[in-house]
Amino acid sequence: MRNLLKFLTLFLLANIVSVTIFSQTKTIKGIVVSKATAEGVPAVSVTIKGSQEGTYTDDKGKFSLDFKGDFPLTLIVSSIGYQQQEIVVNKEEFITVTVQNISTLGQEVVVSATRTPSRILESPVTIERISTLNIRNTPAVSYYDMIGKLKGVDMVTASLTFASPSTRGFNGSGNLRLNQIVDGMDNQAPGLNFSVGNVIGLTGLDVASVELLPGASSALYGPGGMNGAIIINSKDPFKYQGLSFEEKTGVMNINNDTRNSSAYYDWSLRWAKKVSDKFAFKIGGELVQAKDWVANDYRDYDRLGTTGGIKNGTRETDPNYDGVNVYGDETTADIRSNVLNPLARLAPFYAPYINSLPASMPVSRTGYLEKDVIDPNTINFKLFGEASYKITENTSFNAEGYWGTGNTVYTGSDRYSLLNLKVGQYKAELVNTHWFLRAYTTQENAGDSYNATVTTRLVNEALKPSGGVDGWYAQYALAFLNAKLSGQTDIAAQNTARAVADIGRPAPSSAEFKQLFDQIRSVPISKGGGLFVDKTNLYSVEGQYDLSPKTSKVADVLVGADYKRYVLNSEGTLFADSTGKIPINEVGAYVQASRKIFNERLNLIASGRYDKNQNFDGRFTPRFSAIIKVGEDNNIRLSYQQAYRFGSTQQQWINLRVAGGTALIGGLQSFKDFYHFSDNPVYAIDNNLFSGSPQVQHFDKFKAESVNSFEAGYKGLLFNKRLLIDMYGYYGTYHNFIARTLVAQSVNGDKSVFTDTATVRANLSNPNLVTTYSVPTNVKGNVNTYGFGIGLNYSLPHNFLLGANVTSDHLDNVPEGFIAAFNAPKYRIGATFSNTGFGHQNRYGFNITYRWQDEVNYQGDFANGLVPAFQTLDAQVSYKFPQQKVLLKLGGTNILNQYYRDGFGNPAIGGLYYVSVGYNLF
Amino acid sequence: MKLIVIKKSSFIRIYLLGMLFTIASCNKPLPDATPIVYPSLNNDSTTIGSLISSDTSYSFFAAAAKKTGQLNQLGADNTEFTVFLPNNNAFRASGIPSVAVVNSLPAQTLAGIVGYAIIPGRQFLSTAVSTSFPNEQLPTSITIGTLPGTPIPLNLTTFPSVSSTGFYDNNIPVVKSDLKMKNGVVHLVAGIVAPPPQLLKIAIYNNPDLAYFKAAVERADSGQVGLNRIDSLLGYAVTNMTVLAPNNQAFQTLLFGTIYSSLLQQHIDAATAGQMATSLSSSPTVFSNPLLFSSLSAATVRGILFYHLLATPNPNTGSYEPNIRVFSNNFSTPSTFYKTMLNAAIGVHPGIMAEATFTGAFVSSLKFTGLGTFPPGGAPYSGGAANAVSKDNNAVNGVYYVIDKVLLPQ
Repeated sequence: MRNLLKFLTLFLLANIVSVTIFSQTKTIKGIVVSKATAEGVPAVSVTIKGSQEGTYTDDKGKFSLDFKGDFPLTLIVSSIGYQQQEIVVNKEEFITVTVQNISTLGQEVVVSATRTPSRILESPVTIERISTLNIRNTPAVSYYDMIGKLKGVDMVTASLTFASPSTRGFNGSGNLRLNQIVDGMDNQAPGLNFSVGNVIGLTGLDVASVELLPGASSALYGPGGMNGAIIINSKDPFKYQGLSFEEKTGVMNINNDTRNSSAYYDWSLRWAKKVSDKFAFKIGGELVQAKDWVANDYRDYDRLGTTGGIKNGTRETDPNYDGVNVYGDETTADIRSNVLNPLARLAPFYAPYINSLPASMPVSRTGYLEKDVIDPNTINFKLFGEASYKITENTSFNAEGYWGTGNTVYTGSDRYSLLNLKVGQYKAELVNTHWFLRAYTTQENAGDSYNATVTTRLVNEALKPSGGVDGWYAQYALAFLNAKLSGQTDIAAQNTARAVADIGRPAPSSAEFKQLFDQIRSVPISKGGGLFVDKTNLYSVEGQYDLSPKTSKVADVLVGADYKRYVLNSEGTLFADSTGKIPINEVGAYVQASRKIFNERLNLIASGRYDKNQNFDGRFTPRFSAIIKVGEDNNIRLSYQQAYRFGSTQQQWINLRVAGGTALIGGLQSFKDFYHFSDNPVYAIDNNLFSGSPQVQHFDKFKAESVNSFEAGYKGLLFNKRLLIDMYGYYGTYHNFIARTLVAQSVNGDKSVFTDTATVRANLSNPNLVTTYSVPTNVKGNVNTYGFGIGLNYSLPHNFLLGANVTSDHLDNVPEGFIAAFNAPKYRIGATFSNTGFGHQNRYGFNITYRWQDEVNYQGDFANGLVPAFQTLDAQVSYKFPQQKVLLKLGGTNILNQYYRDGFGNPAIGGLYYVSVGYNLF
Repeated sequence: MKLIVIKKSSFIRIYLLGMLFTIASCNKPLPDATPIVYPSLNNDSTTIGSLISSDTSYSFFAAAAKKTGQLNQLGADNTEFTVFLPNNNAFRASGIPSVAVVNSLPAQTLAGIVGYAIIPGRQFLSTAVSTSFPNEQLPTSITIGTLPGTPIPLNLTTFPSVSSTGFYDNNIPVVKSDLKMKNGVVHLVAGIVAPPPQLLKIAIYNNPDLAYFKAAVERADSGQVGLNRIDSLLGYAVTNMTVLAPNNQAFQTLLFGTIYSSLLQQHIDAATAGQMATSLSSSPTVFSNPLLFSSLSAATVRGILFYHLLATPNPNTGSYEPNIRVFSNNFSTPSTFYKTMLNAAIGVHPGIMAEATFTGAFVSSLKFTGLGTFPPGGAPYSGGAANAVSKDNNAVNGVYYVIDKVLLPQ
C-alpha cells in the first residue's frame, strides 16, 4: 500500500509540474445575452477553438478570457439549451454574443454511463438525467424527490426528508442495493450502509446534474450497485458564480387525520466566487423545517417474526392487537398458560371454569401511536463549502466539505427516529483532464437516534413490568377472571382487564410519559434502552487515469482503483465492537476499453472491475456493451453486466440483543465461533422444530450477492428531432440473496428443550433455556426479474414539452418460502407537460407531472402488506423577473391531496403547497 | 401546415383529456382497522333477562330476581350466563307456592336462590358439561369472600353433571335443557337448586345425630395440625368434600361391639361386659375416655374416618385428596368402587362400594359397603350395607350423607 502511494505521488507531481511556456497574455472581455430576454446568461462556456483555454460567464453573463496566442481567433460560445455560436475575434475588444434558445431534447451530455462524457443519445446503458433547468422548473420541493418521477424509479418514503429510490425492484426504506455518489464520494452513512435520502448531500441550488443508472452498475461504481447508481454532481464555482438563494414557504398535512396543517420552510443559499482564473470557492447551506408526515396505519398486524400480514382487529376487539404504527403492543403473552393455568392449579375449584376458556389467550400490552413517540419536527440543516485551485491549465486541486444534521425517520426492522443524525463528508482531490486522485472521508454520528418500537416497549416495562406476581399480565389476567365472574363476555372482560392493568398508564401527551420516554431513549440499546450509538466512519482513496491519448489507436482505455476503509464504532451498542473499533477494508480496481468500429457505427465497450472485501472472497464483475448507430441521433444499445454487493457493515458485524430477546448477529464466521455454533448446534426455527424434529442449521460461508443482467435499448430523435424515444428491456438473475434467518440454541447444550412439542414454543421465549439468533445468510436458489420501459418526449412549438412513459418490472421464479422483498409495481405510468420559458421574454414557466403506479405486495422486515395503487399530480407555475433575476414559483406536490403510502407501514403522504422566491437561479 | 397545427392541438387535447381522466380517479384511503365482529352467542335476540321478565311461567323467579336487583344484569349487553332456572312449578315443587310467598321471603334468601342459579361469564350447553365422574365444579354468581392473596372473588360453586340418568345441577334434574338465548343458555330445573347455607363443619357439628361423628373427628385429629385435621378440612371454605357420616346409632353399635369383645378378652363375664359396653358406648365421650385409648387409638379412628371421606388423586401431585363432591345421582346404579382418603396412606386400597337406585331422575336408595365386616372375619364387602338415611346435604365446602352403619376399611 505504501509503495503504491509513493508511486502515485511521484506520478502526480510529474504531471502537475509540467513546464508552461511563457508567452504574453491577452484578454477578451464580453457578455453573453439571451435573445429572448436581452439579459445576461450565466454559466455559458466560452472557449477558444482549437485550444484548451476557456472560461464561463459570471452571474451577469459577463466573461473575461485571458489567453496566450494571436488574433484572429474563434470563440465557441455554448450552453445547454442555447444554440452554439462561433464568433471570430480580431483584437482585444468587448464583444456581445446573443444566444438563442433551442430544444434540449437529446442534446445532454452524461458522464456516469462510461465515466467519460458522452451524449445521452449514445449512452451504452439506460440512463436518466436531471439538469439544472429541470430542477428550476420542477414542482417538487427537493431535487431529490425528482428522482422518484424518473422513468422506472420507485421511491419508498419513510419520512418527508428520507425517501429511498430504487430501480428494477428490491427497494426498501434505506436501499442497500443502490450506490449514491455525490461529487465522487460514496454518500452512504457508513454504519447503515445506505444513503439517508438526501439528508446529507447537495442542496438544490448547488446541483449541476443528477444522473441515474437504473439496474446493475457495479462494473464501474463498485459493490452495492445491484439496482442502480445515482451520481450527483455539484456546481463548479468557476462556472456557476455569484450569490443565489431560494426561499420556499409551504403548507402540508392538510386534512390529515393525525396531524394539524403545518408549515413547510426551506431556506437555501449559495455563494460562489471566482477570485481569479486560478482560484474559486463556494459556500452555502440549507435549512428545511417542517412537521413530518405521520405513519398512521392502525390496522391490526399478525406478526410472525419478520413476516406477517394485516388481520381484522382493533384495540377494542382484539386483545392481542398489534397496530402497524402502534408501538409497545408488540409485547405479547398468553394469559392462559402464564397466569390462568397456574391459578387453576392453586385454586382447583376454578380449574373447570378456566379450562372452559380458549386454550390460548394471547394478549398484547397497550401501545402508543407513532405520533406520540416520534418527534414530529423534521429538520434538515446542511452546510457546504469548496475551494478550487487551478494548479496548471489542466490540473486543479479541490477541497470540499459537506456537513448535514437532521431529524428523520427510517423504517428498518422497526421504525427508527434518526434524531440529530450528523454526517460530514470531506474530500481533497486533484483533477486533471485525464486523471484524478481523490481522498475522502465520511464521519457519521447517529446522535440521539433511537428505535421507536423498542423504546416504547421498554417504556411500558418501566411503567409496569410485564412479568412477576404483580406484573401487568398478572393484574390483567386476574381482572379478566374477575370480570368473567361478573358475567361479562370474553371480549368485554378483556377490555375491563386492560383498563385495570393500565391503571396509572400515563397519557401520551403527559409530562410523565415524555420524561420517561426521553429517559429510556437516551440509554443505549445494549444497556436496556432505545438509543443506538453509531460513530462509524468511512475513509476512501480513489484514482482514475484515462489512457486514451496513448492508446486511442487501438481503443480508448480508462483505468482506476479505489480503497475503502470502514471503521465501525458503536461502543458495543450495535456492532461487536465493545473491545474496540472494527475496521473493514475493501479494495477495488477497474478498467474500461472502448472502440468505435465500422465507420463509427458500432461502439464496443468492455469494462471490468475487481473488488475484495477482507471478509468476503474477491469478486470480478464484467460489463460488455455495444452501441449501434442505426442513424443520426438513433442508437441501439446492448449490454450484459454483473453486479454484486458484499454484506452490509451490519450484516457483517452487528451484535445486538433486541427487546424480544433475539440476538441479531453478523454473518461472519467469527460470530459462529464465538457463539459455539459448531459444538452447541443451532436449530432452524421452522415447522420441523414445532413438530418435534428440530433440524440443525448449517451455515455456508457468507458470500456476496450478485445479479447478472442483460439489457437492450433504443434511444433516438425522430420527426425533425421533435420526438425523443427511449426504450429498454432487461432480464436479470439474482444469486445468493442475503437475508436473515432465525435459529435457536439451547443455553445449556440440551437438545431436549426443542424436542417436546408441548413446550418448545414456551422454551423459545425463555432466555434461561434458549437463545435465538437472527443470522444473515445467503438464500439458496435464484430469482429472475425482467421488465421494460418506454419514454416519449415531444417538443412542441414555443418550448412546450410533452412527455409520457410507461415502465414495468416483474419478478419470476421465486423459490418457495423465499421473501424477496421485490417491492416494485408491475406497471407505472408517468406524464409531464411543461414549459421552461414562454410568453414575453420567456417569463412564464410551468410544469405538470403526473404519476401512477400499480399496487405492490410490499415486503419488509417491519411489516408486509398490500400498498394500493396510487397517483400523484404535481404542478407549478412560475414567473421570472429577468432584470432582477428573480423567479417566483407557486407549486405543489400531490396537489390533489390524496394521501398515499409508497411502502407498507410508512407515513401517509399528502399534498404540499408552496410559494418560492428564488434569486439568481441557474 | 395548418392541418399539422390542428393535428397537434388535437393530440394535446387528447393527451390532456387522458391525464384528466386518470386524475379523476382517487387514491384509496387507508382502510381503518376492521373491528372483529364477534358473532352473537346464539341466534336469538331475546336476552335471558327479557325471557324471564316476559314469560309468565318464570314469574316467581322474575319476582325474586327483581327484588334482589339481579334481573337487569341478566338482560345487560356484553354479558354471558348459564342459568339453571326454576320455573313457577319448580318453585312450587320446592314448597314456594306463589309470588306473594316469594316476595315475603327475606332478600338474602332470594339473592341466594337467584345467584346460585347463575353461572356467570360462560355458556355451558348440556353438551359442554363433563360426563366424567362425578360432575363439574363451576362458580355461581354468589361471592362469599376473596381468594387469599388475589383480587379474585371466592364464589359458591355448583356442580352440573351429565350421565346416563340425565342432566343435573347438583342433585336437581334438568327438565328442559339448552334454551339458547341472546346472552347465554337456560336450563330448566325440576326444583330450586338451593345454595349451601353453611360449611360442612357447622352443618355436621350441629346435627345431633352426628354427635359421635364429631367426637370421632376430635379423637382422629389428636396430634394433627393444620389441614391434616379433619376438623380443619370440614371448616375450610375451599375444600370440596364428600362425607359419609355414620349416625350416632351406627357408632354406638360399632363401639358396643368393640368394647364388649375387648372386655370379654379381658376375662370379664359377659353380663358385666355387656353392661359396661352399653354404658361406655352410650355417650360420644367414649372417644375421649383414656381407658379406651388403646382400643380406640387416634390412628384407628382416623383410619375409619378417612374411609368415609371420598377422594381422588390430585391431578398435579397424584396424592389422594378430599376433592370431589358426589351427589347421590353421581353414584352408579351397579355397585361401583370409590376411593377414599384412606388411599392417601394405602394406595392400593379398593375403597368403598356404592350402589344408587334411581326412581325416575331421583335416587331413591343409596347404599355403601365397606371392605371389612363386623364382627371381623367376613369376606371382603360381605357385611351389611350402610343405607344413606339422609342424602345430598350440600354445604359450602362439600356434601354429606348420614349413613346408618360405620364402614370398616379392613
